[in-house]
Amino acid sequence: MSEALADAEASAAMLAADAGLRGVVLRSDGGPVLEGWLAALRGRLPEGAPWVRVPGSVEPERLTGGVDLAATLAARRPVMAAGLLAGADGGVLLVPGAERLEPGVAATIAAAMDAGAGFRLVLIDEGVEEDAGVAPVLVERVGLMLDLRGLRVAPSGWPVAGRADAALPAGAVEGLSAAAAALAIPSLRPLLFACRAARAAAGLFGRAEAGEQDLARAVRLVLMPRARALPGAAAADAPPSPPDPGDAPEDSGEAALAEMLVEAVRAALPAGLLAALAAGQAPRGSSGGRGKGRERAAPANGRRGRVRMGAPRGSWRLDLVETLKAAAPWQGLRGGRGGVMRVSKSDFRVRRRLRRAGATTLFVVDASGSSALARLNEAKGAVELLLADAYVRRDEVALIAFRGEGAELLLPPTRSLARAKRALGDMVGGGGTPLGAAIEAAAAVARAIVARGRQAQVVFLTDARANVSRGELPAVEDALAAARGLQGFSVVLIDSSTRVRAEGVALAAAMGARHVALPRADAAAIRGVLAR
Amino acid sequence: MKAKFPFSAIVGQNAMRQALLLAAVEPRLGGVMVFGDRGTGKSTAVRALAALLPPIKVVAGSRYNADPAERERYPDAGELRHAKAVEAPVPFVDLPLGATEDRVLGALDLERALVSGEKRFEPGLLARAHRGFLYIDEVNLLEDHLVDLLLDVAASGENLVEREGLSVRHPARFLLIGSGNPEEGELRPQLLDRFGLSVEVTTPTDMAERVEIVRRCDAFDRDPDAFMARFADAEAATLKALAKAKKALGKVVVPDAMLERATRLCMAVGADGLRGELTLMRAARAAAALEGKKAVGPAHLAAVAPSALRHRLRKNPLDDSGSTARIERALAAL
Repeated sequence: MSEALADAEASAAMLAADAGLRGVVLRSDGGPVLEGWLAALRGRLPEGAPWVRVPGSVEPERLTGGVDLAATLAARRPVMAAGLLAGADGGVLLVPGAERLEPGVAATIAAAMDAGAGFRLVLIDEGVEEDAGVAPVLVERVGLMLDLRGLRVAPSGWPVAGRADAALPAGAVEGLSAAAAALAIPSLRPLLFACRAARAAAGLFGRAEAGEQDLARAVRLVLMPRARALPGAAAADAPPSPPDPGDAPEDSGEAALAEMLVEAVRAALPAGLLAALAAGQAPRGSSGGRGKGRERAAPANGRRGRVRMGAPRGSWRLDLVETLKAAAPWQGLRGGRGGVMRVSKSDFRVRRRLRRAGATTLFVVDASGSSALARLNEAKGAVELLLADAYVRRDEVALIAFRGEGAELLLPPTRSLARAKRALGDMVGGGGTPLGAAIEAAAAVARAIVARGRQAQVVFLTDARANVSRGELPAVEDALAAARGLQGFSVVLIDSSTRVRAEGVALAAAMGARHVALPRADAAAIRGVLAR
Repeated sequence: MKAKFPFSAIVGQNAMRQALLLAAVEPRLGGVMVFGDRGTGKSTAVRALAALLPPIKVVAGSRYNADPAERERYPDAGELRHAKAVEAPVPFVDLPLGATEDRVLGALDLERALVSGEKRFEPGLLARAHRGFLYIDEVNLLEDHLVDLLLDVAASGENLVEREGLSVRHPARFLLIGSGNPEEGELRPQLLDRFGLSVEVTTPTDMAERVEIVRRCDAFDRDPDAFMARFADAEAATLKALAKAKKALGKVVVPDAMLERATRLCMAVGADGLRGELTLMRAARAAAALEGKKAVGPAHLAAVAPSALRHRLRKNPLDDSGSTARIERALAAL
């Protein structure tokens, strides 16, 4: 039996045995493998334990419960619906398509878990893109994570009864801490989960004390999927460094165990993760702040719109609760009695769900030539000013700088001022002006922004004097050729040359852009242009 | 209700624990904002403090945590005129990101309206948090209009509802604790300014400290009662210090020299507005009271300055040194 299959089967049994593991994130594209895993979990739970599926479109109110409107109106007496969360107590709360969960719903589930809710949370991540994922707030609160997509065989149930009181051997906590540090996992929750998982894994085999294989399994099921750096590589956010066996006052057995676990981590890293980490990106599902899912966390998306009076029409849907509230005060006058509501047309309230796409402003800054530094600094200032505004509008900002031979995306789309500052901290200027390459890069980023369902606005900050070409064409023609790729996007060209020349105007026309002459483009002026 | 991890058993995180204690001694400080990554023990500390505080007296059956000493100020005064006063734990309310305005402020009680046509107010989370803690995780992602509502209520100490033909007002005084990761979205300056204190929480980098945290959490998980017993004395001592400080707070003197020092410090770091100065003084007095001192000294100012001013500095795009470093530089230069 392959290690992956054994891990899958063990994980279902471990979660059943220890509710303290809180739950699991399963990456899966459905099918018999997933069904097998779920059946394996269900088979280990007590008879009649609740098994509650949460549809991705659930309203937060359904989770917490309240008056069941439809039933109340039908029965003419109050009918309360228990919330889904309470209904899952002692059993399983199953969330298919967990990567599509609305942020409000995710937060409600997380709050219930923090308050000590008694369900095991099974999050099924069906995402196809590698960079979206389950809301970090939930990933953080469940113990186990595994990828079922590589399995050829469906897992089956765990055959034997285990024990629930396995202990950790001396040095195990240090070893797991070292492994977490080696993988640059800053949060302490995964470490706590790893300790529990090691004990649960030992319990499956009836062992009184966790052995090396149990600890390694805990590392594979809890820590590794959350890795943010390769063991041995320096992580971006300075994790605690593993103790150096040389100067640590511990016996060599413990140091050796820590060494072994870190080694196990290294050996078992899946190839895809290795590539992602080598590229300096946190893999999905890490608790990291790469802003995964942040776009969706912007409440502007899918937020309930304003309520207004009127009959339901088109995208305005009847809001039953608001309608009944509007009708309630009049019941005395209208002679409504004993649960019969008299609703008149004036009570109708409708609501439109807002799906206002957030906007992403992409700055493309000319860092070439003599005025480069001043321009860069003003662009930085404009980015900060925009981000300060953006808090109100939930917008994002990104920045490409170009000089010498090419263009570089210094700041991927973000709403975070802190990140922007870090990314723009040490920009350098000088060299040629590869406008063609810059426009090409901008078009690629803009297309990616639109693919994420946001609006893209591109702002060029340049004197439009191209002098480096991508290929055979002269640089100016090359820039004009690239410019067609931006047609259809909203583009502004802020021309910072002291006297406006034809090249700038022609380039703007080729991009379908608005041309704005700002010889001394300072941050506030740039913001002013964009606010128009 | 699950058992709460004891406040005294938290390893490290001194700045956060100190800020929470100060806010508990001096409610007028107006809440604490905790910056930091996930899994650094933010909510554990806040919950632990709420569980540590002595129980409050409430009117039995009140949905507003009514204070028996001022019954008449609550909407349910009429129906509970003869209700007894009972002890209840200090309320701790989580405000989840997806909460609707109705759930926060309270709304028409639909059930009553449907069944008997009666207009009755169903209190919301603000009523439940009254006289306790309102904890908002990821406050930087909360919808703006909710943030504005919360700030208004937190500032006035009263929730005023005028909707659906209802007109209700009830006291709502709570300690607002926000947490969030600035990497995932900024907080508006005007919101930040309303939080009295702010602390930055980082994950412990010391291996021994991490291992100790894991050991304690593990011991607590396995046998909460035994673990609580182990820290019972420390908890009692903390509680006693809090009670004494609360009592002594009004008598703590602020020498003129200290006032002047506080003003100079705020000028030096460019902390916007008078709110910074006021918070600095109040926090310093609370710190002195916690130590059992009769007057504020330079050490108290220095101890609270970072958390009172850190989030009020004007952002200087070209100065990348952190706010804390700037405050410490200014302190050294005084």
